[in-house]
Amino acid sequence: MDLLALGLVLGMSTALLAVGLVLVHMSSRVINFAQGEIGAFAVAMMITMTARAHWPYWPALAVTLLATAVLGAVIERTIIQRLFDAPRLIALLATVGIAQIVLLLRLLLPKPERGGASVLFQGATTFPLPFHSGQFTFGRVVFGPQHILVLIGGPILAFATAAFLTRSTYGLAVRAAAENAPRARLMGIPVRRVSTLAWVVAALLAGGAFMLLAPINGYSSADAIGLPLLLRGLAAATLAGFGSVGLAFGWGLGIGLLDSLIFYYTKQANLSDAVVLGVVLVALLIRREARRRTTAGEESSWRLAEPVRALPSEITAHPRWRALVFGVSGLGAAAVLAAPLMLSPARTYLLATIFGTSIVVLALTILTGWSGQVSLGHWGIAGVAGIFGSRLVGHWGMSFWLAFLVVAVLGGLTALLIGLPALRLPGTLLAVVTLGFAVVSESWLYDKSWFKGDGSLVRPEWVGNRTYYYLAAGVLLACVLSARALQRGRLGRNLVAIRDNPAQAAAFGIAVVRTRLTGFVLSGVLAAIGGFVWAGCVVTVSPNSFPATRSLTILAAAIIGGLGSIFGALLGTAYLAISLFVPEDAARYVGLTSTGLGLLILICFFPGGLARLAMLGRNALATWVTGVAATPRVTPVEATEAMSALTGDELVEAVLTAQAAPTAAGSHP
Amino acid sequence: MGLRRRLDDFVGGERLQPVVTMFGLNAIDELDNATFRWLAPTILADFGKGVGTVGVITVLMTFLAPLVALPLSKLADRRRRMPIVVGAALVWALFSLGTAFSTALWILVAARVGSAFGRTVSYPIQAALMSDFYSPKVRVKAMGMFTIGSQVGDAIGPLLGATIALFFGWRGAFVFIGALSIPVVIACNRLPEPERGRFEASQGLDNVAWRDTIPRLWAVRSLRYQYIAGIWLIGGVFSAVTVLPFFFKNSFGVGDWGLGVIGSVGGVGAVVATLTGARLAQSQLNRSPAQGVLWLSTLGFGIGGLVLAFALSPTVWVAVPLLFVIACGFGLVSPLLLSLQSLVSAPELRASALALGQVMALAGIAFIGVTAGIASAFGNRWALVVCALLLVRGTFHVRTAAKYMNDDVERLSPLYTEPERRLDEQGRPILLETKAITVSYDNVRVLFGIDLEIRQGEVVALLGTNGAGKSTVLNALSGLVATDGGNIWFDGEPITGESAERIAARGLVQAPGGRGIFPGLTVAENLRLGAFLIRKDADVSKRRLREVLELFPALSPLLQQKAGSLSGGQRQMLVLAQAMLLRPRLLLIDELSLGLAPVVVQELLVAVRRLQAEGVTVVLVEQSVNVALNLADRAYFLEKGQVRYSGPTAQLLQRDDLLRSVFLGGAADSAGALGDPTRT
Repeated sequence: MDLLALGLVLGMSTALLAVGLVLVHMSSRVINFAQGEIGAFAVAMMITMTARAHWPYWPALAVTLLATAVLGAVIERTIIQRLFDAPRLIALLATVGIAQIVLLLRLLLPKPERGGASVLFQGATTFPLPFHSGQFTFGRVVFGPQHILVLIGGPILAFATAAFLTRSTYGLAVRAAAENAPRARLMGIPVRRVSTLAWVVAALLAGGAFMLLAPINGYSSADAIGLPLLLRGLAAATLAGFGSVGLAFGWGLGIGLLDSLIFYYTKQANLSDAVVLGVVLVALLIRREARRRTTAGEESSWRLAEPVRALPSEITAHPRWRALVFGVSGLGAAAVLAAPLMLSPARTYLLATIFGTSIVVLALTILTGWSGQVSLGHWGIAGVAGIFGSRLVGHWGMSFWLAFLVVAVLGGLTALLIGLPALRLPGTLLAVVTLGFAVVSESWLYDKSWFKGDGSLVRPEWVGNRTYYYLAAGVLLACVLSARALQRGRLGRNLVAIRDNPAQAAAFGIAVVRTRLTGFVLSGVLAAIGGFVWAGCVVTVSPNSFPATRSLTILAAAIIGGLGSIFGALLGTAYLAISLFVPEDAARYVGLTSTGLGLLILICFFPGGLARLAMLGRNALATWVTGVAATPRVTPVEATEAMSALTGDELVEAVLTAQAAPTAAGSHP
Repeated sequence: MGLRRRLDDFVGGERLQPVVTMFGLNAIDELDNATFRWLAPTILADFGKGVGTVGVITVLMTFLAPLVALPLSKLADRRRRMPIVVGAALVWALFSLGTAFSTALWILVAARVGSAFGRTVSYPIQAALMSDFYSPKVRVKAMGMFTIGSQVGDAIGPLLGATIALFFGWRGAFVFIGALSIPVVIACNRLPEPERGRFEASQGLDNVAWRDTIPRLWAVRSLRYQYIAGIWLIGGVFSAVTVLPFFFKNSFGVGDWGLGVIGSVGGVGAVVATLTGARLAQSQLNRSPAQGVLWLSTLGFGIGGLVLAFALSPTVWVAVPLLFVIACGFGLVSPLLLSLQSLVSAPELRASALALGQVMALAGIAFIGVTAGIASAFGNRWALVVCALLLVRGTFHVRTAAKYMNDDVERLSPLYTEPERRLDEQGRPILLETKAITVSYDNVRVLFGIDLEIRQGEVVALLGTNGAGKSTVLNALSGLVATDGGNIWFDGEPITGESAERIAARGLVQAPGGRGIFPGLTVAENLRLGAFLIRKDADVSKRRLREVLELFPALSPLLQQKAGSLSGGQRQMLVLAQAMLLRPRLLLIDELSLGLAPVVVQELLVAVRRLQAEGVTVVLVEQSVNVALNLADRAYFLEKGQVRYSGPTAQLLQRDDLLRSVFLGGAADSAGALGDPTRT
């Protein structure tokens, strides 16, 4: 029973996190990946106020809460409201970017002078408590005043939030504004104010949760909040279906209980991660899609970016342009082929790793861009390939090439396993599940003796750095070509149809879940290939090589390059690679800023990414070289008139040749 | 008298006194500022401080003052403005004197910040006054003279101040300047308060709430884009001005005295430009407001290009003439922007409009940090290139503003600002009137000038085919969709550009048909939200809920059900019930009968008739002429965004040409059986 109590205390942070997540989902229909970081920001501010500025507890608390509320309001006003009509996936990606920005803000806060840049706070020394009482022992556990605070404060916060949402008119207005904002405005509900209010409450909730728990869990000022904690909050919210605050709270406590029990009985810290993921997967499998009379008003239009269009045929057939393309491609191919001969081995090695990474980015971008699902664990799948591959080759003595094939299949299987529960249901649940996978694989799976190898993936002897470079380039080329074929084929079109309007696609006979799953599995295969190529290049593989956070960086690269664009995947990886050249101590800040901030800016202002920029440049160049306009300006009236002039066969022809490819570059000049 | 004649001519025979006085005010303001800037090292040395303190003062001045400017301008919009301007001038003069007598550092800082307040805060109010002193025909030129004041003060200041300081010390300089300001303040006092909105028609916006001012201004699109353009333009200009001295010093090795000469050259250029270029700009503006804006954009591109060339100039002999030309351009931007903003802002909001522009331009100052960083990292030339890019970016926004300019100015013209009449022939009050409403979605025009007139107590039908624009009209009336042109009055009050929430609160309520429910909430919760606007008054809410539930008994058993599970007819009922809770004065119903069985439509018609009996005015958007016939006395027929017919509903039946587009033939005959809505 003492374990029960401890579990409740530890689970309180998960529970409150989950409550905040549900609140945000109710008000903005988005899964907020920044919820944890906002909470950590509050703790950091509190520590700064009390330990560095030496303010007393209550004024410091007031300022911290105010700052947290302002942070929530600013985030909502500047980013979330701007994305109000965007697909929910985009808003989710924006929250990932926001999390990085908030982390950056947290790192910029002045830290107390306690020696050393990275300060770890333990227990009750984190910051002073409002009251003092003695400690008491309950069974095997020692409880202090901070535990009492948690046990009292936590439920109060949760209950207050629930009451707000369900009882008060403003809480109702929050939910209404999320469901049908124009209608709410017609009723006189100040939609923007209400939405900001919800975020402010959620931010305060996050701050409160973390501040309650900091004295117990400790606080590390240097790192991101810990994806395991975020994962638990997400799991609890997912189990509650993001629909009920009370359920989320309950599940959160339940998970906390599970944590403490598992830890006590098995002494393994990370097994509980895996168990939580397992619970979520099972729950999702059993859940059936809620029946609704009509699904009107649920889908938002997917205008992620204007499609990257191919050039009109007048240009592609133009001799000057073809000469240019030939010349440039020739130069490009020559450059790629000659690179190892001109660059140092170190640089060649670097390029080879970039090739490997770009395959993974490619896998992610086609998943997200074409099928509209996001995976936050693609680097985890890559890790499966890398680490299990090292086991195959090192432990079991399998041939390198055979292992390559095996891990590709394994990647697909992994994707199938984690994708099936999530993809059956509408929404962005895949994000949660894949995040879980990334966390679990890093903390538990890669360490399992039956899974990991001896720590290195050894290539056959005759494959030196240079040879491997060519191999990697070849694999990348093969992947790009396969992706192109996929895009133009039926699977590609079906994926887009499902993304835009699943009900309609199903009405046309497209098997929605199966197609989605196929897309994810193929993406998993690609990710595994990329991971194996990467691992083969760096040779030394360990769980540290495949951290969960790197999945987020991969995602950022995909977005920056331009979602759904094959060329964009390459551009995005190049962008990532640049950050490798930044000096160490600045690296973290630069990295966060460029990916987090870059992500946000792109999502809000320039969703087409670098690929679209490249397309614009290509079009300008094409127009300049050939004299033909790359994007003929046809006004809607002209277009209508042009179409009206067609008859019979011409009309049929117009329909069949209509641009049906998914929104992606898919176009070489 | 040659000068006098010239000046008279310049302002087209209108009164000379205001512009000269304002000129003087601004000149002495800037004199004071420039003197402090150039004597700062000496002054601060006396207190044992250095450039850092100046930085602090500048930051305080730059950021605090405009924020105070907004509320003060709002005040000025409601009250008499001259007293405020005189008061501010007095405050400034006192603080300027205070500078001379500061015995401690904090007094000095306070004095400087205070004098900045006096100046910055009243600038938009002065500009608003100027627009009421001078007609649009000469406004640009007048604004030009008005802004030259600061440029002149900036040019003379250093020299004058330094000379006086030579003999009497820096304190003496400020005493002198403070003394100089007294006659100007007196002259100011003698100016009469001009009639607000003399040249543009009043909008009846005297009672705009504080919170509503900014949304209203933001809703005027040409204003909005001018504000946004201002951020970039000001950013580019300020950044360039900051980097300039360093550029000359580092790239060409110009010495201090040389810098002073170049600075003056720039100042002179600005003055020259404003005088001559103002004429040119004025003639453009007189052709049409959009022309004026396009002229501004040409200016912007030109300056951008010149700055680029300037960044690349190989020798100082190329750079200085370029600078002269650029300064001319810079000098012209401000009066033009001010005039343009004054043209599209309602007179009752003008000072606030100008103040808002000032505040927003503040954001542009942030760019200085960026360009300064670039200058130190990559060199001054690159920084100047960035300035050129900022200017070009801003100019693009200016071009966007030009698109909306003419429509926005037209809205303020007397032709469109007064509702035609308040009562109709029978003496019934006109509840809703629209004039020349135009709406576009994404550059495609959807409504082409809609004129409507709805009298109190009647039921009017808005008919038309799909795509005619009926729902767009409703959304424009309700404030969900922004109108490009035209005006709307509700009960005599202008509601153009007001937010949807405020319009609902006025009693203009829309029932949007089947889309009007919240599917995830229960029916009870839906109803509760319908009463959002009256939630504060518990008795009223309860009473109305009871009434509404009596009116729609079919809803009672459904209260705990999720609204998403209701059938079409039930949803319509719920939406009507929600609308009824507010006891609207005007109810807009969108597609009452769409997709519903005739029996259900019959029930709804009963409800609407009951509404009419209770005095609610109803506008009904319909595709079914029969439903319209049943309820509405008058009808408008819309086709492709225009009103094709307006008159009694019964007469509409005789218009075969219109009805053909709505019906398959023969329906008009069968619709002769009035009162039989079961036959569609």
